[in-house]
Amino acid sequence: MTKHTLFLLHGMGNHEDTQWADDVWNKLVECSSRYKHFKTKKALDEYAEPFPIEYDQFIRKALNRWDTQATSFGDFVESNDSSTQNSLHWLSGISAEDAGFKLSHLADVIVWRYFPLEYGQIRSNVQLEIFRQIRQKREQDANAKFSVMAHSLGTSVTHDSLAALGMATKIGDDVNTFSTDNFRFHSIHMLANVSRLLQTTPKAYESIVRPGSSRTKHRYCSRMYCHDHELDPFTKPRPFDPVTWGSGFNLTKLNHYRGWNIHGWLHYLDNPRVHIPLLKSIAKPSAISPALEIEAVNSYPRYGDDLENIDEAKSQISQLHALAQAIDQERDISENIDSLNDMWVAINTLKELAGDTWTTLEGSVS
Amino acid sequence: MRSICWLLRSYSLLFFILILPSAVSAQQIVTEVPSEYEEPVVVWITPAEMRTSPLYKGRFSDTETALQLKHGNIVTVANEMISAFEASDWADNQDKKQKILNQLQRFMAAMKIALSTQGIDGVLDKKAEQNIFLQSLNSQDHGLNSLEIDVLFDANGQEVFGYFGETEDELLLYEYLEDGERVRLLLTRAQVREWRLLEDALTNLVLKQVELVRESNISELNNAVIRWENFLENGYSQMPWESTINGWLIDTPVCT
Repeated sequence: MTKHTLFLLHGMGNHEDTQWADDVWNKLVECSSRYKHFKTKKALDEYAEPFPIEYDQFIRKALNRWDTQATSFGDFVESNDSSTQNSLHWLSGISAEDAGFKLSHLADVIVWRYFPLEYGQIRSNVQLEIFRQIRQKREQDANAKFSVMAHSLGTSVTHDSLAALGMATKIGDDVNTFSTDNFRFHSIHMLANVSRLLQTTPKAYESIVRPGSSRTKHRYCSRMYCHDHELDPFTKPRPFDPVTWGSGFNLTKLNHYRGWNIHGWLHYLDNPRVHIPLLKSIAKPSAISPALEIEAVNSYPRYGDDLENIDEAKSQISQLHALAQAIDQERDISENIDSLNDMWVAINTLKELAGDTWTTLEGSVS
Repeated sequence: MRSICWLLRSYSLLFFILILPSAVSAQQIVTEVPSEYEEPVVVWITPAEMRTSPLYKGRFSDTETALQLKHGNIVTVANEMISAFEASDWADNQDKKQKILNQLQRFMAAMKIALSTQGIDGVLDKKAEQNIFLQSLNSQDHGLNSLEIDVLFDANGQEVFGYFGETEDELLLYEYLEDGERVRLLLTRAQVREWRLLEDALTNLVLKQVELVRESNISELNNAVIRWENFLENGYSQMPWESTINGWLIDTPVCT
């Protein structure tokens, strides 16, 4: 039987080995085992299988290429003083303390957003990987189903890759068999969605990467779910929050603290409000009944069990709330860089405060 | 007063005796949704059904159908399957069957127009013909996913499977009761089997007509990847400023 394919697109940082995808899938399997259907009737592995898409190699190659040619990315960033709207002057003058954040966490974002050639290469590879797999599976089963789960930078990569391909009527000289008229994803799940923050063309709110029925034009999926943690620093500038996308679109605001890395993929996935819609999508809607779903959501503890420093952690969370307020939602990443940096430092303080029990959801996925 | 109450009770009883059984048989209430309503056809189809169902056409492997397809008679094969569906008895769900037939009628009309477009000569064995066929279908607001199963909402706002969402023919296969546990089946299992077999076979039939185009699409995407690789990795060196300037000078193509 052809299983439902779940494409996984990672976020920032190094993802050169496949451990990240194993971690995400294993976490999802663990989440599924909390529900009777998957425990006693049919395991998640029998319904669906993951298909990781890695694009990190292209970013690393670009950074390495520049480094080996004695012109490091860091040097380039520091010396860039162009006055164009896409200049990187906002990254200049990196201090020793925050160079770690700006370069280790944002280098991927910068390469993706500010270097069109690398952007084009990544987008092209992602499109090929996804649609080659779709074609193979549809050859075996014309009704094979496909969904996407993306995290952080991966949401922007997913959006831009799918939007460009889905809206094209032709590929080369031929009709596009992957256009919205001819193909649709079953569901798209965006965790820590930065597709609006990093948007180019088409803009995230004007895109075909939005939900609708099979008889509605220019819709690339049946259902779309976005999840945003209240203190995730990366989703605060230009948050993704469309108001007229209809009932097929679902945005969840999360406020759980079960691990220190509240931006982490596994921390998002642990929450029933995130994993239940995903499990139902890639298995079947009735796998978890509405009554069971409500019970799981309501009984999910906001804070991790048996925390060593819960009071200090809560105090730090309050500080994070104050820092989040300082972020101007209407401005882009370059104009909020210092606030984002402050939040990242505060999250790391949270890590120190949290104690050992808070490291459980860290995994290899940041 | 007592006689009025007696009369009301009698009518209620009569209602339960005469009306309810048929309603229950048409709309069975279950705690577990049967496989046919949600899982892919390949999960629940029996080998016998696969070979013999006129709605499934043995996945087009029987001699007569294969011969028809060899001669490019796609519409004939599709019409035979749809006729078999039309002939089946959906007594208690006639209105729902009509919704399906409405959509099938529109889809078949688009297919006929597409197949009679200038440039198509019998069997769609050339990429150029397949392109014309698909372009015509798309221009008539149909495509390879026209008959696809949808995730829709029932009256309680719960996600359920159905077809033709956001049209006047929207058709749910089941719905949740208010307790959020039990489910009312809106079509019988036999009806769901019939329709889903037909839908699966028709989708497969249409998909087969554009295989060359799909192959070509992938090949073109592959060429794009190679072009980028040659440009960035096997071409001249790209310092960051070169990459930036070249990037803004070169307009990144839509899907390559």
